[in-house]
Amino acid sequence: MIWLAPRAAQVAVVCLLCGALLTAAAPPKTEIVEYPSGSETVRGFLALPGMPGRHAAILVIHGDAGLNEWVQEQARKFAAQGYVALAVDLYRGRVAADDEEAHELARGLPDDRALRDVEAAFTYLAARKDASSSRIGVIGRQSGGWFALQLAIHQPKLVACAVSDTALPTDFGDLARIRAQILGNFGADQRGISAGQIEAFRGALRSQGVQADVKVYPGASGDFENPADKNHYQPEAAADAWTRDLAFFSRNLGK
Amino acid sequence: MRQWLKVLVAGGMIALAALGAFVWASPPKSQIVEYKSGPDTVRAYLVLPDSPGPHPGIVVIHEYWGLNDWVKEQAQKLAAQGYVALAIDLYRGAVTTDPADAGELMRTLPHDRAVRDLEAAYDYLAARPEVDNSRIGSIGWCMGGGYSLQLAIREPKLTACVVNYGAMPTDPADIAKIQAPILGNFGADDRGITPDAVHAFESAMRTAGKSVDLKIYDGAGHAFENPNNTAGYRPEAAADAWNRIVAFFAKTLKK
Repeated sequence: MIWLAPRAAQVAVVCLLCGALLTAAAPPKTEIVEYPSGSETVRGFLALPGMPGRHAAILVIHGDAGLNEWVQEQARKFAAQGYVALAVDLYRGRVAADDEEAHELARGLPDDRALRDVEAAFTYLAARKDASSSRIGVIGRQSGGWFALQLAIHQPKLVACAVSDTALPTDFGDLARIRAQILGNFGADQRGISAGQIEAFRGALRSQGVQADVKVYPGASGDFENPADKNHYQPEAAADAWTRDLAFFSRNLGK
Repeated sequence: MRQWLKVLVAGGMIALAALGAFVWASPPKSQIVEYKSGPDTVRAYLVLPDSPGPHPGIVVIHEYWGLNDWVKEQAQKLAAQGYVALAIDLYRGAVTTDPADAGELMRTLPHDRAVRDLEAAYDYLAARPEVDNSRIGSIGWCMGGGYSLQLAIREPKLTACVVNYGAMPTDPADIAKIQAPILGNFGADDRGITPDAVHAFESAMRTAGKSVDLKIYDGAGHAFENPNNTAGYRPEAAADAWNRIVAFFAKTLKK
């Protein structure tokens, strides 16, 4: 009989913990949403926090492979942190099965259409009742990073922009239009982007009063955050980059 | 006897020198040239026809591999047809045969810098004494095909533009700016640039009253013109596409 009481207490504690977890972090609700982009109707993957309210929001822009399971998982993880997360689908339903197809899709994507889609996604998020239009950020990787930065150039109400494994704008006129805070995570062994380019980007923004927080990971190349990229994935650097992403959005979007 | 030998040797040397000059003059002359692009000094591979000018000029834009031997060969072939061909180097010296590397190079290329480089290449060609600056065209493959169209949007004096399986603009305002006639060659099995996208561009060009000639090759995918693409090379389609390119430039640049 003596052991029953502690056992009952244990069960009660476990139940309480479960209840608390369910209340605090009810699983994010996800749905496919539609909205206009120019003359077209496009779809996005929306993940909502499990609690009511007006939340900060994050646009998630996929890399070369398209809106795959990994990108959707990131949207769900942001929603679990309390953000309304909208993952755009620049490829309109196409998802790459391998690297070769990813490159074909990336090469075939019209720049102008992609930017239109990203701006349309921002407008859609800003109009949602459960999202706070003054607290919207964007995260983009690879080709999506470029469009995240283009959104920062074209949308003055964007508050925070996080990128990795991507090209950085060089045009001073464009950089001068950026109002959002910038976070960057790059692999030191990334082909095509040099420390000099990162410094030029950071310097140009600094002269405009915008601080770009860029971290370069030694021994990492492009795509180091992607678990599916067996050749480039670096778990420790990836975990650090994700922690930086979360802290950056928490700081700037006032979650 | 000695005198006779001297004459013979001297005569032989003159003959050899003449033969050497003849052999050297036969293939188009190529050289690396430098010029300014915004704040940067960039390099390009220039090939001149053997005959005196002024000649029409062509900006040659590489695939996502970078400025490799195949692209240089295309510049040589165009020079042999009587054009001053300038093969630009958007990657500033980087070139690869590895698809993962090429993917990194492409996605870290700042689009704004690439466009600046294109305009600088046009201006450089236009200023060369061998070039008739009222007759300058552009050609690109893969990633470079998309940039060939970007040059057509930005440079109203461009006289001819060829795109081989490159991304096409969708914005009517951009399409309205195109003055050059467009020739395009595409593979029906390209996973990034579908026949639907080709037809949409063709229709938008016609609506805007622009000159456009696009051909879609059945049984061909992306990069079907390049023999180094061992799985995807389609010799017959490639030969037909090359004939179309030669005829198009002759019609638009040699008239």
